[in-house]
Amino acid sequence: MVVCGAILGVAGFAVEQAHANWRPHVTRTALGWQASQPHVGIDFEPALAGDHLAWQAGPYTLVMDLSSGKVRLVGAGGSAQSVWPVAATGGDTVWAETSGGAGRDTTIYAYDFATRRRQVLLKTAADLEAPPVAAGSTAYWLSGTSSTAAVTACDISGGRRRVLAVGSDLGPFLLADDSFVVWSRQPRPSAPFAMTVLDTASGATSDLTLPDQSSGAVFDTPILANGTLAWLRIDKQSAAAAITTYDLRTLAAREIVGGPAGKLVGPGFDGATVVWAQPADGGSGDVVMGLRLSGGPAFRIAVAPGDVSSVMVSGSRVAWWVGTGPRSWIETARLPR
Amino acid sequence: MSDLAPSRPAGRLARLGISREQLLFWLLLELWVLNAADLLLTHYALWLGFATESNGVMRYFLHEGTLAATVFKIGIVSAGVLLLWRLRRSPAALLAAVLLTGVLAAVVAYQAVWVASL
Repeated sequence: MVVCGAILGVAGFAVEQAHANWRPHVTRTALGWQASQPHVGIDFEPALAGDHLAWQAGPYTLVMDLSSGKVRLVGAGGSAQSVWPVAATGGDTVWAETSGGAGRDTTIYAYDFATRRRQVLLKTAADLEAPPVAAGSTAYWLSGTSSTAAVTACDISGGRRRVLAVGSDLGPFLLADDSFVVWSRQPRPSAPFAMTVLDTASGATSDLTLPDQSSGAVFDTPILANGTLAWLRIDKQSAAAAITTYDLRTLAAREIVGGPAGKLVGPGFDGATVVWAQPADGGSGDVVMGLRLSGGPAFRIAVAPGDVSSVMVSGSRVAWWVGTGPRSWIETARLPR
Repeated sequence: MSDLAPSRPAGRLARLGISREQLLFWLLLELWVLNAADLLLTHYALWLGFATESNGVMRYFLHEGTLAATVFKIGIVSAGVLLLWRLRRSPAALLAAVLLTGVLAAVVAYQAVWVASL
């Protein structure tokens, strides 16, 4: 009877999973893995940290172990009306879900890759002003009401929270690495923004003005890693774009690659390597490129047979998201040595 | 549950050399073990952060603490097992044990593969 019951239970689970629309289609490629979400699509830029890749598909949040290809469903969305782009560190992935209806609230979750434990870091009726970010063992978010917002740090394992800044003009950027937290202040959506840097070791804050910030260039897809900012700068007048890094300790700026606006995609950055996508020679698809800040020329990582939407890098792994929505997919590879 | 004296063997059981009481004993033991496994898996799934207790009574005891939930769940099933053993002469006791063990085995197996998939 126990055996019959066990067979029935396992069979029920298998039938349920066979009909689940969250399950991605995963295949091994010559370079790594390819994952797509044929039923619900991929909605936001994935996050890569070490051997783990996290992404959102419809109301679901998924984590893939790149060493085995196993995908786990870590957030099922439930009544969530919308989810926010996922963030990842070496140990955790962090994301937010906002429920719909009259009792609208936002829940921020953290999932520990090692223990497979999911925690609720915050449940609030306040609005999120930016997607949560994570660095080391800390998650950061920018939440607020119509009149004021706050940058909050939260120890993922212990749940202790600390407000880092309060203001009416915080956002839209919130970035963090192991040493710094950077947020922007912008009184109106179209107004020029200012940036504040918090040194998490000393607690000192300072204002930051990026090169060309005053010229009205668009500051796009910023990323902070190992004390260095990387971003895509787009000059609206000349329609030129460039991926630039800026060391927050030495204040040295470096242009990594330039090109026409709309052609460069990225950057992905882990503090050591910058990756981006640009049109392939001949105009068929995009090529994923990389450059190590320690030296050496830019190198080709892979060719994508479609328009790359975003690229990311972490240690020896690189990933890129091709297309958007149900027809999009994610590919991974190891960085060339 | 020390009384394992063979009772009137039923046809198929007799061919296997198992009395109805022996079968009932093992089914009740399995039921008790499965209940403990259900408790452990529920605790683990709750700790992982993926589960919510849907049984309102158990939810109350889990809210009161791990010890209260453990004592209640083990206690109530132990009482049920003892009651079925007291009623071992009744064919209904064996039928109830068969159904309960089968259903709980299905629940525990489902829970185990679900937890493993997280």
